Amino acid sequence: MSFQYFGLQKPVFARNGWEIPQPNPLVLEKYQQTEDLVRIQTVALVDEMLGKGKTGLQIRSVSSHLYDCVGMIFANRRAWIDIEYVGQILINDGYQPAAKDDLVVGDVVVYTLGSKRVHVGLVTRVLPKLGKISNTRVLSKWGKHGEVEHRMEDVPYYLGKPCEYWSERAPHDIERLFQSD
Amino acid sequence: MTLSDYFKVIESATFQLQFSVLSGLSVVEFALSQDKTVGDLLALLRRETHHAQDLYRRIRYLLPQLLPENNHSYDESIVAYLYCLNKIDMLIAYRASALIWSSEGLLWSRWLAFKILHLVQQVEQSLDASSVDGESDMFSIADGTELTNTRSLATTSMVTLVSNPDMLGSYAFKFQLQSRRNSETHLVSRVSASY
Repeated sequence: MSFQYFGLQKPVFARNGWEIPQPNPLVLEKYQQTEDLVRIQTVALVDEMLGKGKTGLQIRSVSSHLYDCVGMIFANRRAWIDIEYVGQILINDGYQPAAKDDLVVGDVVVYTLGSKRVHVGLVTRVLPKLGKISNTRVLSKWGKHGEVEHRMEDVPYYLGKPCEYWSERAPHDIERLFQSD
Repeated sequence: MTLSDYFKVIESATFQLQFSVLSGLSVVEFALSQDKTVGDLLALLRRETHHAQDLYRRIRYLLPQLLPENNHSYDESIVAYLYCLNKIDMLIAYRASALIWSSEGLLWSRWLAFKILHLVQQVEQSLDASSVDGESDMFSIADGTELTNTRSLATTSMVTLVSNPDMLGSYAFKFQLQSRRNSETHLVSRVSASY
């Protein structure tokens, strides 16, 4: 469901001028969180993940400002943007699909649960593989919680699995990258 | 599992954490539809419909506990309860939504409450637009102990069907039955008046 824009929030535009829909500000206006609360909850979440054997999670930041994973990547941490628009944003921003093995820092990983897009993260490091396991690191904003850097596959269950890889690099940049290999 | 067992699981920190990481209402609803505990609770509510009132009471009980110093707001628990109510009893879901909408410190619950209230409002407006018989919107009939307004029942049924397209069940039947009763009563009162 997309809510009508009431003009109280600052609009966010894609590169081609398309205005990215935001939740009705009436929905968000009574939700306020303190930095301490976000910190406590993020630590609890990371501890829970560590308990499931997911190591190497690193909390990057916590903020009382309300933004989500899509807002972190596409709106400079200024807005909450429903994940359902991520496909349209990628197209309207001129992103193109990339191969998992060709990811570089700054590329975008989309996570799906079943066939539904549920999360998006930003590639921060591409390290040599650990055997057959990829060692790409991703920066995520986990819902209301803080930003966490983690191994690409290590996300909470309902954030799904990494399934799509996108890059805004021009095709000739990607070709040059392959040639240099 | 009993209803209080479901309350324990759904109000646990583990349950709340797993839903608090999501980034949109559609994803929250999708995740709730995939969750086994929520699915089992829904099955229980469909078997024992009187528990819908208990769920409403539980929401009312949790709402005043939304204090920042509590470190968690029960937002994810409340949205799970509202999601279930919305599937089984639209009238109670509507009442719960109104209650939640006036509360602070909630994100998902207020978002879902907004969706339900917004939907009801849209249906009300469409009924206003389509209504040609002013009398038929407003008259009420005595049905046992309570008065039932035709408009709100029609709204409830339409909203329930719109929001739960898989549920061509109890409400649709209830609405048809109630509409028939209303028409009969209306007819009787008109006939009586004409004499």
